[in-house]
Amino acid sequence: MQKKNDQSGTFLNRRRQLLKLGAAGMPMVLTLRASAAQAVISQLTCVITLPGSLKILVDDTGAAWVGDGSLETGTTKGKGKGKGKGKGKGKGSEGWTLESINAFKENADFVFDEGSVPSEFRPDECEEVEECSSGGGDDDGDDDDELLAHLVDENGSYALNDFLAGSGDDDDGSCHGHGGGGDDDDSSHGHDQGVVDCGYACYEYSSGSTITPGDFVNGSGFNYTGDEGVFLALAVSHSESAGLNSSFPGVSCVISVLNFVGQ
Amino acid sequence: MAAGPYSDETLWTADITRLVIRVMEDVNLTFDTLSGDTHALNFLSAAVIQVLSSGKETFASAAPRVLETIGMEESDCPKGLIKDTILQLDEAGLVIPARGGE
Repeated sequence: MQKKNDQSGTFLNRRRQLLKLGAAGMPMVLTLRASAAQAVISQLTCVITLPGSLKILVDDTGAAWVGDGSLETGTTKGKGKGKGKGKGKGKGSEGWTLESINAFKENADFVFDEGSVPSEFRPDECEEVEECSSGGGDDDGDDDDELLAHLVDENGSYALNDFLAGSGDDDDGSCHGHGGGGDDDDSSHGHDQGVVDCGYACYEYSSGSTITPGDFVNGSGFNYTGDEGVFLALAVSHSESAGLNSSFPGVSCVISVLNFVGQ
Repeated sequence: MAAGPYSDETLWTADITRLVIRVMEDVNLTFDTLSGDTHALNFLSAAVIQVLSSGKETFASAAPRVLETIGMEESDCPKGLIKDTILQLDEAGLVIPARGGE
């Protein structure tokens, strides 16, 4: 073990100086230990940097679509019903066009099932059928007969099933039912003139945004707050289903934090 | 002290079979496979490990063998420093008392 090499005066002098320092109290052994404290820091301080701009579209069931598509805004002629959370969309009669919502969903990079988004980030459900207009009108004085008449197709049969299921093919501004929850069908949400003003919320993140999951950790796991909380909730959800193979941004960081908190 | 009570009669030993040692100039980087720790040993502490790995020694009996190994005199390396080095190695878990507590 001991090197039998250079025994020159310089070499020995260096060693003598070192021994003097040792006699004066300098440690002769230095231990490089991967301490627990350092491990904690490295597991918690990872940062997610978004490689590009990102939108998360959330509906009232907690389903979500993640992508970078655009959502076109429009104005409904009917009453504003939405109480959407997020970026202030869905309030009043301002909303997103049905077409752009559908396109966003179709082109989404990641799709999450109902219940994936915590309830505090979901928009309120759309309100009742009677607020929908028929044929694009604003005659909200419809009685039951008029409503039924609207449901009778040209053959005289009831289209009630379509109404309840929200078939979504009548995009002429007529009333859409609310019964189609869970099928990702746009018609499960109230809309008017091809514009949806309720039932959806959108969270936007710009390219290069950084999220530090460790900032959201409490004693039992993640505490989802703010817009970043939506992203984290989905990242955790995706990590649970796909693990390290997930391509969702920042999953490895999220897993690192989850490992630390023992989940 | 990691190993508990000791005396001048305590015999010390070292198990180098569990150590992975790489010599870099005058520093011995020593990875302890048992603890997972890595230690930077200078020529003196490395010599102590070498001596104790070849047999059980007290502080007193180890000193001349260590001096012989490093090729220096007691005037350069006092026995007290060798004893302190053994105790530091004990704290690091690199040497163990073969018979402790006397």
